[in-house]
Amino acid sequence: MNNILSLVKVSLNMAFRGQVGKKRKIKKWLIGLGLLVWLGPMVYAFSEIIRVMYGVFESFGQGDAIIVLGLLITSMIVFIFGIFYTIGSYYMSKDIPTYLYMPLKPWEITSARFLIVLLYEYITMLIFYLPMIIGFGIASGMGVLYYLMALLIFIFLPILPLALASIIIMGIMSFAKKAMNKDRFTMIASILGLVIGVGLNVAFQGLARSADNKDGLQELLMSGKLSIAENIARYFPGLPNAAKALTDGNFLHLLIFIAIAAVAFTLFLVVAKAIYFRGVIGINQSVSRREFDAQKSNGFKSASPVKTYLAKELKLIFRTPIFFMNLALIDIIMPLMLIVSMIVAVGSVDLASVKSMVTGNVTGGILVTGAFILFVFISAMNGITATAISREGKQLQIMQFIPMHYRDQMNAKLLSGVIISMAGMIVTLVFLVIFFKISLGIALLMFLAGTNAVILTRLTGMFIDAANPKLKWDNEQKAVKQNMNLVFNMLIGLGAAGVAVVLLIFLTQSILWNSVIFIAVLAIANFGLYKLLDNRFPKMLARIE
Amino acid sequence: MINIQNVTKTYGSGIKAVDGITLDINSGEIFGFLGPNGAGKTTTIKMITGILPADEGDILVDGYSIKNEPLSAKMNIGYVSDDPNVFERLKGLEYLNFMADIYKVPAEGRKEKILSLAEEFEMTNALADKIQSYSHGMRQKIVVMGVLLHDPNVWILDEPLSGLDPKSSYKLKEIMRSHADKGNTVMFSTHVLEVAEKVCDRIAVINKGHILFIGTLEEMKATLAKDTSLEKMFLEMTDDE
Repeated sequence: MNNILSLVKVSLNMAFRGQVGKKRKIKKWLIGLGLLVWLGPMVYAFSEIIRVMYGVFESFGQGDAIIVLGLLITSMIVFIFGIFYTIGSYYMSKDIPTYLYMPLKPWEITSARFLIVLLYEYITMLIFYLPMIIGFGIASGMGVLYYLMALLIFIFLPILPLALASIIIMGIMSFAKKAMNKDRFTMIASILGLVIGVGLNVAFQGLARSADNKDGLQELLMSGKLSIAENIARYFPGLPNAAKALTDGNFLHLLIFIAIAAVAFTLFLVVAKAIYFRGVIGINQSVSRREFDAQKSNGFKSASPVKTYLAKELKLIFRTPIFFMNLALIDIIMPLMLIVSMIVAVGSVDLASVKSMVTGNVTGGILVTGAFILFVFISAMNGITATAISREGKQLQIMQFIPMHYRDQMNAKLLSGVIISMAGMIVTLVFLVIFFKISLGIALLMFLAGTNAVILTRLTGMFIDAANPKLKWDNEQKAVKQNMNLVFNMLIGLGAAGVAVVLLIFLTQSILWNSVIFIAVLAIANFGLYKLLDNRFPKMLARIE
Repeated sequence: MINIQNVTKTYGSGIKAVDGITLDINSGEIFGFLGPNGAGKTTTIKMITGILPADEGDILVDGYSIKNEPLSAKMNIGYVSDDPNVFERLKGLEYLNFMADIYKVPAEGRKEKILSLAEEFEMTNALADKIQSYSHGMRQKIVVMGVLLHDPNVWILDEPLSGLDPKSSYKLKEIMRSHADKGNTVMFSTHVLEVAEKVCDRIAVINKGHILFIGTLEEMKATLAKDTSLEKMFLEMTDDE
């Protein structure tokens, strides 16, 4: 046990030391405090939504379904992030080989890794879990026991989905031995892991639906015969128990829930013991040697500095697995999941009624603001600009000595972020427009709102990272995953989404015009922010030693 | 030509890494910058190349002030840092082409230039591989090649010979010589004294941020006791501080 704790401690020290200097500690706390205040509207808006939803569900006598849905979504978040975290922490981390020759038992290493990832998961899931618990607690008038239960469930909830993600990844990685290219294989493994995860989810949904004899959600709500909560949770071990523990304060269900988490963790250990080392040892740099044919090569073309710099940024993002998974994949996966879940939902929701809702000014306004909320959220998760300087690491001096103006380098870096986010955004928008038959005018406004959302998060990210980049890292994972700048930018994006939700709640009248003004204000704010960054960036870069 | 004019650099901890040094390095010469670890060599080089701003004083590179006309000054410099780990996931050729674009090497003749450098450093077959797969020496070679593409008037190398095999090391010294002979400035830092002895036209010895000596090796020998080895002279000089 001591060994495990030492391993966890060492990893955490390596991860976070160096970015928070003692001198700047107070400043950091102040920034953290400011962010909490900024996040207030988000938590408020979110718990408001939960409260309103509770009202709707409760009118059908199904209020408790909210908590099951909440736990389910939290578990899915843990699972999806678990896929990324696991690959990075179990396989890409450069300190892993160091442990291999130490007198440590395999299960000690894997347990320590699991615990570290678990810590990240707690932070990740808190953003969703906290408002859900507060919203439900207030709406249903819960007492102290409920919040105590919520805390205990918070601790044990991520264990099962994380164990599942770990087992899937370890299974895939155990074949790594035969793989030629480590980078490419890791990328494929992570995408495959996600597809398996999403596929399982879809399959479960399909199962759940067929079990209901194709009853739609609406009919189910109306009939009230079958508890939605039990129905949904039927295929997710432990969730019904957690929900019961929360709503009824039932300790027996809590114990069952904890027992299931313990079984999941044990299963993880058994699988880890069997196949983890096989995968880790298989990970080795491979060298490909081939003859270079200068006549056939078209790698000699010239381009403008900004263009060539942009190409370099994009190549490095797409070729570095950790960068690709943490920075670019989110823009591909999120729209994909949205699309898949909508297509799956077609069977259960009366689509015609939804489509008929998507007309008129009021809904149009909601769509435009909704587009902003969606894309500010997705693009804030993507830390391309929030780690743009950090990713340079020791090579930052290249930025400083090449004869290229800092402004041009900044523009190229911003562009790389905008391009990747916009690509995902356009795919999503095109799908939504076709799927819901949205009018071209509204679609254009949604595009403008989304574009401004993307630009906003690109700019704030660049600002944060240039102000305090994390340059001291020895493996790429630390530059993007253990980088608080990315988290700060995520929180800013969440805050902006929260503000937009509050605006939606309070400004429902003639909302289309409101959203036009909203876009205009955003555009002006973005322009101002760009000008400010343009002015400050060279000074910030020159200052870094 | 490099003119360092009364340059000072103090780090956050209050230690003066470079303390009011003045130094002129001429065109057509290979200039060695010697000193023990932590003497201020790298700090000085980083100020010349524009990586670090000087607290006081200025540096002119071919007449361009690194403070006031940084882009023109940088355009004239070719800098090989002591860390050859550049963009590991670019292929060798992609890296060279990137450097060529940034330093505005004309499209015409670029291919020939890259291929002839690759030939010279025996790197032709490695061009299509990612830098990630290169050995330390190969990485150093690709960085040197990237710098030579734009034929810089001022060539600055920080500890260039560490990690190179004897053949590559010989080759690099040869190229440094021919580059200087064409009227360009070559400056490099080292703590390997034999290298300085064989290659340099003039040297400077720096310790604790101060320049202790500027001149030819013969002059250095003359000022100190006769018949002592370079190593002994060096230790004598830097120990006095």
